[in-house]
Amino acid sequence: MNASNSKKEHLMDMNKKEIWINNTLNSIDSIEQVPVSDNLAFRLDHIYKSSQVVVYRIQPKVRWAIAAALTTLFLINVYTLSKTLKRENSEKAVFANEYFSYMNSI
Amino acid sequence: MSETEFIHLLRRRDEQAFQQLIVEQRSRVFNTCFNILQSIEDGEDVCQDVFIEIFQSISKFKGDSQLSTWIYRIAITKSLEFLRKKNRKKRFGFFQSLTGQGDYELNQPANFDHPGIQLENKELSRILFAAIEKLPERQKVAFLLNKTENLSYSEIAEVLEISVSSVESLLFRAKQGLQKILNTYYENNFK
Repeated sequence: MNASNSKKEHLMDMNKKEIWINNTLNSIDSIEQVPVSDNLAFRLDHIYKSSQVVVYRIQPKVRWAIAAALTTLFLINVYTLSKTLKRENSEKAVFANEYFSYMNSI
Repeated sequence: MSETEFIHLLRRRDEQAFQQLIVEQRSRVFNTCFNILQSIEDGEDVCQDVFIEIFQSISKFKGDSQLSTWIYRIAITKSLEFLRKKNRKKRFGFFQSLTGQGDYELNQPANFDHPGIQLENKELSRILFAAIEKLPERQKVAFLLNKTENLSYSEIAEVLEISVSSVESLLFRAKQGLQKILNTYYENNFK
């Protein structure tokens, strides 16, 4: 008698728990959409204006001037470098010449 | 106006088209973000980020899906990124998940009061939202899209770029997980 009673209670408990779980799972079934606040609507309306990319157009004349200046700078660098290398080479040659002529005289 | 024409206008950065897009999509985007993040402030911030992203990357939209699907994807990605950043700070929770403890524990339901829930369901939904928080990301998103956005399985599949059977599996596992969490909560609080 006691065993059957406790079994019944256990079944009732299980039933109660399952009903509660199901009710909880279904508690958001009739959920409604939350309206957008005025604050958010205002923020969204201003995205377009704040996201506009400002394009600064450079005039063709200025573009050519920049290109010419950069090219001149590059050419000056190349010229100076080649001059320096040439001078270093001739100095070395003179030194070697003097050294070997000295050695020959000895 | 067809969707292709509308997208063309958006790509040309037409102001009217963009304002129309905002008016048509803002409620859906905000509610998606809000339901994932469970906070109005965070939902609003992420919603704004979503529209900025749409504005900046509309030229990259290939048109291989519907515009609304693409927007859903951005909203979900942004919300999950936000959540990940937020959760990185909760180191204790991370260690708990590493040790496997507390996976099905729901000691206290979150204090999240969803304004779109009917009064008689408020208490239960609070517990359910706290349980949803415990689900893995993809299960959570699939469950919320199905329950709160009323998206069909095929629509969810398109948004998440997976097959319908994968959606079925995700939702099945999500429900199973929720049942386990709720079961533990019931045992701890009502017995």
